[in-house]
Amino acid sequence: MKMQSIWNTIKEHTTFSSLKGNAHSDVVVIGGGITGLTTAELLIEKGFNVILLEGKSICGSNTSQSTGNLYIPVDKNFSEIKAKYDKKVVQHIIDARKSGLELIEANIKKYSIDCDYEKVPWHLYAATKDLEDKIDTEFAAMSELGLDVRRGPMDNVPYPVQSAVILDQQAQFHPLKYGLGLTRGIMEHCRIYENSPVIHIQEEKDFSIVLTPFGKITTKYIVHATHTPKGVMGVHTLLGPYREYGMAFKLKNNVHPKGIFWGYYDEKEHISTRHYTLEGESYMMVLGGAHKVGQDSSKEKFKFLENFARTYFEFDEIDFEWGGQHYRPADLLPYIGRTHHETTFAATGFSTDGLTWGTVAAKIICNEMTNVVTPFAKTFEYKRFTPLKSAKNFVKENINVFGQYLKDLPGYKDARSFEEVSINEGKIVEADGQKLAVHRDEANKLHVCSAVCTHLECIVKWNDAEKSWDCPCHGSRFGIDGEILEGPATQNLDSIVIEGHHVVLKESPWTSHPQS
Amino acid sequence: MDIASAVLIALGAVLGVLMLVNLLKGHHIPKALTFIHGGLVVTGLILLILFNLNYPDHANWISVGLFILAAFGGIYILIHDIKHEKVPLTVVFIHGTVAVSAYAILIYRITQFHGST
Ligand SMILES: Cc1cc2nc3c(=O)[nH]c(=O)nc-3n(C[C@H](O)[C@H](O)[C@H](O)COP(=O)(O)OP(=O)(O)OC[C@H]3O[C@@H](n4cnc5c(N)ncnc54)[C@H](O)[C@@H]3O)c2cc1C
Repeated sequence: MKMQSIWNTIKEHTTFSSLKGNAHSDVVVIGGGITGLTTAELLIEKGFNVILLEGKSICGSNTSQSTGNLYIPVDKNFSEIKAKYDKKVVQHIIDARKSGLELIEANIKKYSIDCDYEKVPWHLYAATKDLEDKIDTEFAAMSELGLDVRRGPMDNVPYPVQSAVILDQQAQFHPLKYGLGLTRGIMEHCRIYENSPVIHIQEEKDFSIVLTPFGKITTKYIVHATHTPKGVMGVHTLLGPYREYGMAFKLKNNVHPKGIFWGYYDEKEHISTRHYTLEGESYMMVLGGAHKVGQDSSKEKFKFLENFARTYFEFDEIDFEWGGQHYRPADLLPYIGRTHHETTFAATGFSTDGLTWGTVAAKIICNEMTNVVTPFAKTFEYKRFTPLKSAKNFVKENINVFGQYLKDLPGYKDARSFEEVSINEGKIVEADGQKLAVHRDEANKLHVCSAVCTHLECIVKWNDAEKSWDCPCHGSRFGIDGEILEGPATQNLDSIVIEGHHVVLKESPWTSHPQS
Repeated sequence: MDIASAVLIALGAVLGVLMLVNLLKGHHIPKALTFIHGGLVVTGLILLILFNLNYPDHANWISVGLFILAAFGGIYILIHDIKHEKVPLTVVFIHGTVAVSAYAILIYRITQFHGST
């Protein structure tokens, strides 16, 4: 079994060098996922001089960890959104998402991207009788909104379906092939750098300076296309960071129809399935098990998904397992557009619908930068203030964050000494009054770094399946040696040096010596 | 009420000293300490304000003013610390000195008030 998504099996990867030295541009797009690439594409079309900085590899993060489903509906059902917002807002969601889907289709044609794009139906079903109400309500809400929905039946699926709502003419693609296709389409006109994480941003009135470990860019505009904006921003208090898992396996003899399938198995649990043909073989993907980052066992979630898979499908072994992250917005709508700094833009809060939202975000940001009015942009305005609509989730998420801080007491630890950390485990150990993130790898080698998240100083937690240190507060994630993987943090976990009985913290070299 | 206020602020001060020790050693300041420290002194300060309002003749607004000044320092320190930045030691010492002065005045006034009643 490989800990990677099924999409990462492709061989035709593009590679770009990292940024070294000084550069100038009109726009720096930070992040090379679907949001960043689409933004760069649109801005180049408008004649901007664009630099795209990717911290790791193009589309190597959530875009290639998604299911590759493209649809108008949203993770939080329309019935729930209708209960909170008036008809105009819901119509804006539909219009925005339709325009996002059209843009993806147009890009596929424009750049002749071979990404297995095809039109398929979207299904939402209830697996048990007591959940049928959810489907009835959603069917009524979607019909009322003018969406051309129909009721089941759903044929040829191996799992129980009590009731279903279906929307035809949605789509699926290979998200990584799409992202790389778009990259090839723009690379002649855009400077793209990989392995160039942004570690510091200095915003001035008319220009900004963006620092990477070995480079510096002076630019007019900045776009945070990093799934959640980098650094300390107010919007982080409005986002709930969640981790979710996927697995893929070769089917022995089941057939499964093409399409997007979201099933309710209980009030909270939502499982998504997708069929995909890889190198002529029939694969099934099963995704779900969402939980707050750093607050549950990922191994347990994989077990849960495997149980589901083994109950309904016939296969020998799991071929791929992976995790991905999503950020749930407090008022259920994504935050897109100009930030509190006039020339800085950001897009976040896509929940699990970000392939389309990311594309919509690119459109809104490009229009805003060029003073073109987007009819639905106001609904998703980054700086909007919606206290009543946000209150419930805002309070829930921030009480949870506060609870995480209150666990950071002197003496709090998972193990008393390094010896108590077994092979493949990760534990918080307190030594010389310092909280250390300690992992023992398969070769019995210890990896030790500070357990204090460099974003807002929560104590990180061990992710037992993905082998990373995850911050339970705002979703930053770090590798076993403290290297930043994703989330709002811009710095690695501090490394440590043990001198006799003393533990000395060494800040990440990027903190103290950014290239200037 | 004034005694309860003094007790809560004293407990907060003990945590403040623990935090200072961590800071001087170059260690991470456990955030539970920070928030409990803040919670205790803010509650103590509210009690002191209530006392002042109930006993205007014996009101001790000097301590309240100084504690509020110290609180601004505390918030400034928290913002730097929580952002994983270097905490400015001068602000820490001013914060501590102002708070200790406010506390000394508080104790003096408490002994005066309870001595006279
Ligand atoms: C399990 C799962 C399944 C999903 N399935 C779907 C689906 O079927 N359909 C759908 O619409 N959505 C889906 N989503 C959501 C979707 O995957 C994301 O919302 C979307 O990919 C976000 O794209 P992005 O470009 O904004 O972020 P990302 O793809 O995460 O790209 C951000 C990029 O920024 C880079 N970066 C981060 N920090 C820095 C830095 N400091 N400097 C430079 N670069 C940096 C990262 O390396 C990364 O490449 C799913 C999510 C999950 C978790």
